[in-house]
Amino acid sequence: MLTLTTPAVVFSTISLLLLAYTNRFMAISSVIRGLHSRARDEGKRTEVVKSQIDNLKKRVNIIKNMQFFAILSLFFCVFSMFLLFFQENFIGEILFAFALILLMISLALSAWEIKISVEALNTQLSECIGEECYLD
Amino acid sequence: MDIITPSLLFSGICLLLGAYNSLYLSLASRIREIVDIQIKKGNRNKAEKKELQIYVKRIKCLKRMQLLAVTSLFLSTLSIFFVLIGMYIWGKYIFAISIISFMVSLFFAIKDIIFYGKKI
Repeated sequence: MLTLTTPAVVFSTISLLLLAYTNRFMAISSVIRGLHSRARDEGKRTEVVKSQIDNLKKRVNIIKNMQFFAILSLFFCVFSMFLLFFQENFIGEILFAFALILLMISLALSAWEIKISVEALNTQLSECIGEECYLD
Repeated sequence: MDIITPSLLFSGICLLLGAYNSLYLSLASRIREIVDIQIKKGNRNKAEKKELQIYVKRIKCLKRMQLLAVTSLFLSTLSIFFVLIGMYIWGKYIFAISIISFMVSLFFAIKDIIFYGKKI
């Protein structure tokens, strides 16, 4: 049932996912740096900045783990293709299943990161508008 | 249903996630800009407050879109996994749910384009 090309179907998706993850990572890093340098220059409103930076740091950590699991999944896909190439069908299937599980873990982490993604913005909004603008 | 049928959605969902990501980044940076301006000017400009509320609504909608797209990707992968271990019927149903989730995400994207594309 598992042909040689079956693990290859996830190759492009993992690569695109890694691209998306890297984009988010870079965006969050630049926001952290911006907040940090502004906090240093202006000196006041440090709790607001600090809680934003905490949330952003947490997200960066999650993204790191997402990337780790995605690359591990890619590795096991390639490895399973390698084994299928040498007719080791049973181990190849197991490794492919394992690779899929790792990909699912990476996606679950991505969903978690999306969920907490607006907290930093919330904190920033809280010091300006008032009740109407909270993101939930 | 083949084992690789769910992978047809993969590239579409991934590219869509990339697009959502760009939209999120532009909305977030615009919100931060407006908040900075508001703080400096002392919360007086009403037009900017309205603009801010629209952006906030859009980001809420965008969060839902992203979550649905990621859920759809997750369920596609899960359905490949089920077909791999031989549970074909589970695989089929989970793939169906994954397609529905993808469609709802696209529906919210259409809503975003129609309603909020004009208000700038």
